[in-house]
Amino acid sequence: MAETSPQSITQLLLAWSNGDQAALDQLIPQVYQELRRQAEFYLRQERPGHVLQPTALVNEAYLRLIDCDNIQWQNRAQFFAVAAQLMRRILVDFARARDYAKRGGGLRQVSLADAVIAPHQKVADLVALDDALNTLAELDPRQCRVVELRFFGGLKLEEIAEVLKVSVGTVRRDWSLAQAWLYNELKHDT
Amino acid sequence: MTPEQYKRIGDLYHEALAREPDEREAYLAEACAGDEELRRQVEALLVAHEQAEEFLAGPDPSLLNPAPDDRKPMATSGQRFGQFEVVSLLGAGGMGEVYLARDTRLARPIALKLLPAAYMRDADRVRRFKQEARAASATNHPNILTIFDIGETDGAHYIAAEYINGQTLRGRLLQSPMPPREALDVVAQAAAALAAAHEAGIVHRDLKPENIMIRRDGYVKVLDFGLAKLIERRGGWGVGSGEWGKDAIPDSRLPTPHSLPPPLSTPGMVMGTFAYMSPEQARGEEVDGRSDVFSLGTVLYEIVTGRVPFEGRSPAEVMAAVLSHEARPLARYANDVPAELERIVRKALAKDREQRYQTAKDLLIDLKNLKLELEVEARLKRDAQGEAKAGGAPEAETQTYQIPDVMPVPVSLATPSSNSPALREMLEPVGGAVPLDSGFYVLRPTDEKFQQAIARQDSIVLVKGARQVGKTSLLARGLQQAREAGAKVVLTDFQSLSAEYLESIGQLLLTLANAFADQLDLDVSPDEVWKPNRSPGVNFEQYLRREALLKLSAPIVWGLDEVDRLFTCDFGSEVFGLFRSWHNKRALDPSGPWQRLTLAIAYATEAHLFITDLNQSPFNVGTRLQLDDFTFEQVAELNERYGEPLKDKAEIARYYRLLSGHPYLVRRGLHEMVTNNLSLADLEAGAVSDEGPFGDHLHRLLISLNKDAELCDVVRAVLQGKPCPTPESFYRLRSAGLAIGESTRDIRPRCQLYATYLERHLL
Repeated sequence: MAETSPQSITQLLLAWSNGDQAALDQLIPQVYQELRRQAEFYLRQERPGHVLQPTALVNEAYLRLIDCDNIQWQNRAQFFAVAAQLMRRILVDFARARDYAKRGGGLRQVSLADAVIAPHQKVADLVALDDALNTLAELDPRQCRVVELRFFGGLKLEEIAEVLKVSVGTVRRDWSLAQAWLYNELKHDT
Repeated sequence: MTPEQYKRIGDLYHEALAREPDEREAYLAEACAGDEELRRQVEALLVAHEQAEEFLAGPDPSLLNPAPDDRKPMATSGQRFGQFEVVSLLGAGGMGEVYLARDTRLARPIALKLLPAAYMRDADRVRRFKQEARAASATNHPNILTIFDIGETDGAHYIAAEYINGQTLRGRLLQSPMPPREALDVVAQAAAALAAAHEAGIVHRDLKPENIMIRRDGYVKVLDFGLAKLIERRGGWGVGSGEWGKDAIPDSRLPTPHSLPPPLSTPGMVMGTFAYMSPEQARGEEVDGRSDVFSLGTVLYEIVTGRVPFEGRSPAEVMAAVLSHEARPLARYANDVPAELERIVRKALAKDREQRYQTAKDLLIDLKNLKLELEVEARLKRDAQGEAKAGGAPEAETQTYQIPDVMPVPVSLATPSSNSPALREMLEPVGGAVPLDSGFYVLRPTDEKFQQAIARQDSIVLVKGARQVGKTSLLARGLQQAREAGAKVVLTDFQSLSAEYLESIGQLLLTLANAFADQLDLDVSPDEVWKPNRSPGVNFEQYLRREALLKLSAPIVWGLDEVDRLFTCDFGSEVFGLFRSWHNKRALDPSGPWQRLTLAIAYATEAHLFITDLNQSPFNVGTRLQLDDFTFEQVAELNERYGEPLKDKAEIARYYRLLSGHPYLVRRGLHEMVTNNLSLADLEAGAVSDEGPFGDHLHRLLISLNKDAELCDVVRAVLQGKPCPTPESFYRLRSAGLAIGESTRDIRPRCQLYATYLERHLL
């Protein structure tokens, strides 16, 4: 398979930004593959201090995949929007695999994941967060997206506003409420 | 809870937050108007708001579960060093940590190395290190890592360098053994880097697999020139500095900066850096370029055998081995070692530097020559196999190509020089398909799309483009990929079919069926099942289904090249109709046998010159891939591979204006310049003459154009800067590869060469 070049991914991103939905279909698997590869790499590191930081991974994928010279920041935000969604899926997959292994189910070596997977101490359980986000999506899909973009994609509020085509104030309000709501949801779980 | 309820709760939450804390209770009491459940929920969120703070905010390194023996990373994501912003840690080792970072001014990724403060105290050493690192980078050699900046922020010393998307040689070796040709390629590129550095008066002093990086496209970069200056001690304690790559092994084998001199390591382990030092380094003597030659020799030895030549259980033992033991022959640990390689390694590893290669350049020459020899040998072997097959028993797979493990970047091109005799020897004739192992094939986005379509097992993949734009080369690579993925491959080149097979559809389809039988080694021959009372189409289809698709479990990829030859046949549309019907059968029966058949069809759009009814498009189904001309960058890349006969960017630009990116013409011209030692001006002077390098091509173009008086008129109009008279004529000109543009008004000759030539002959 030929190497995915920054040019081709960049073109897909631009095509998608210009309304070509088929380009998104091609973009997603490539971004997913890169993120997944990176995440697995971090989990394999035996060196303590190598910590899985979702936003760093997304940033890294961006620098690797995108030809930065030919892109504007709006497109950058769109890339991160896609990547954030994928990152959520990858991390939750890892977390599920870890839980499964903990219960004695799997042969997969995931002990390392225990040490490094939590991006933040306060969010100990990504699977619970994922479930809560799914519930939130039913109540208010946009709030769910805001959390995804900020937490998994590392987007700033301004960038989220750009992606979701709403004002920064709206994003800030969404974020505040979603965070409070998720906090309670997760507290109930534990 | 319903979305409506949630919204109501949210509204109250925001309203309450907008008020002073002591007013909130009263507000909620009023707003909720007795709905206690609602009020309880909003209050719970307000409490959470206080507690949650930024519980979902981005990662805070101080809160990341630190392991007990954690050595804290020196930088965190987002931290700035000058204009560089840290993104993530790439690797760490004895000489600091390397991060992927972003150059905020130029918005490009860079690699940022942070150096331990312990090494930066001796101002004199730091100065010498900076001087050497900069000098090495200033050679601008393609195999030497480019350094952008060496700086200091708040006492932290950093080096900002070119970010290499790839892995270290160490990482590569950990994956799998390297075949000899690849090994020679890598080491030769490293030798080229050393030769350039030595010429600039810089000795590396710490060469090892950890600081040789292999970029994804095969380019080798040597890192950390000058760094040894920072850390060397009397007695030659070289210290590990290999951490630029992700795969750097955090390794107790490498002496750490905190514990110089290095601790005695566990028995049985190789002492990292000591294993690559030269005898004179081990003795603590002054070193010169020949010391690097020795180190590179040990690297080559390790690549070939998987072990370093001098081993020991302690630094002292390793050094003793370096000083006095002779390395065992490569053949002891590896199979099929060419005698010449044995000689090269022995000479590089001579204890007495007077007996060694005196320069890295001498070593480079021997490596290149050996690589060429191996290539020629491989090619002869392949040809011999080809001949044996042609005359011998039928084989299931008619074509087996040897695909190199990496995209070929020929050694001779590592130090580009269009005068190099090695390059000349590698030159291949231009025209027709680019050989699979050619160093001159330029990857384009269509390559990937084509391979994806094949991998998806699309029913029909169309590769179209003007003549000589690279369709056959693309097809060959895609089919090879399919073969490697386990598919059965049949290839039909319509250009090679003699005219008698194209007389009737019956004749043609029987020929094609026979090709299937031969190439797939099918048990039943078409003659046995071909029924005269059935139409040829039905015969062919049944044969394909029963004898090929149903009997073989593997997917079948049928490559059809130069299909435009069918356009002029009376029954062409019938054949295409048959292909289309298979495509439809797949849709109707998703689990049926036709799912396993992929047609990869290549045809020249120039044939459209002769198709007067443009609605009669040969195909309207399938994945279409349009092969276009090279971009400027691709022309520049090819120029590099040809050893840069075009001297600089300005010349490339001139050349690009002359030929645009016409793939055949671009290659043809570069080839001509290298073989006949022409300058760009020479080439330009003879460009439009019939005897010149492009003469045949241009002449052919004129002949086919002259057959069509109407089109000739259109070309004349375009040459005079007028618009195309009709959309049809515009489309035909473009399909013919004669002109480019977006509309009847915006149309111009495809390249300057065409314009000049056609003006001369038509106006």
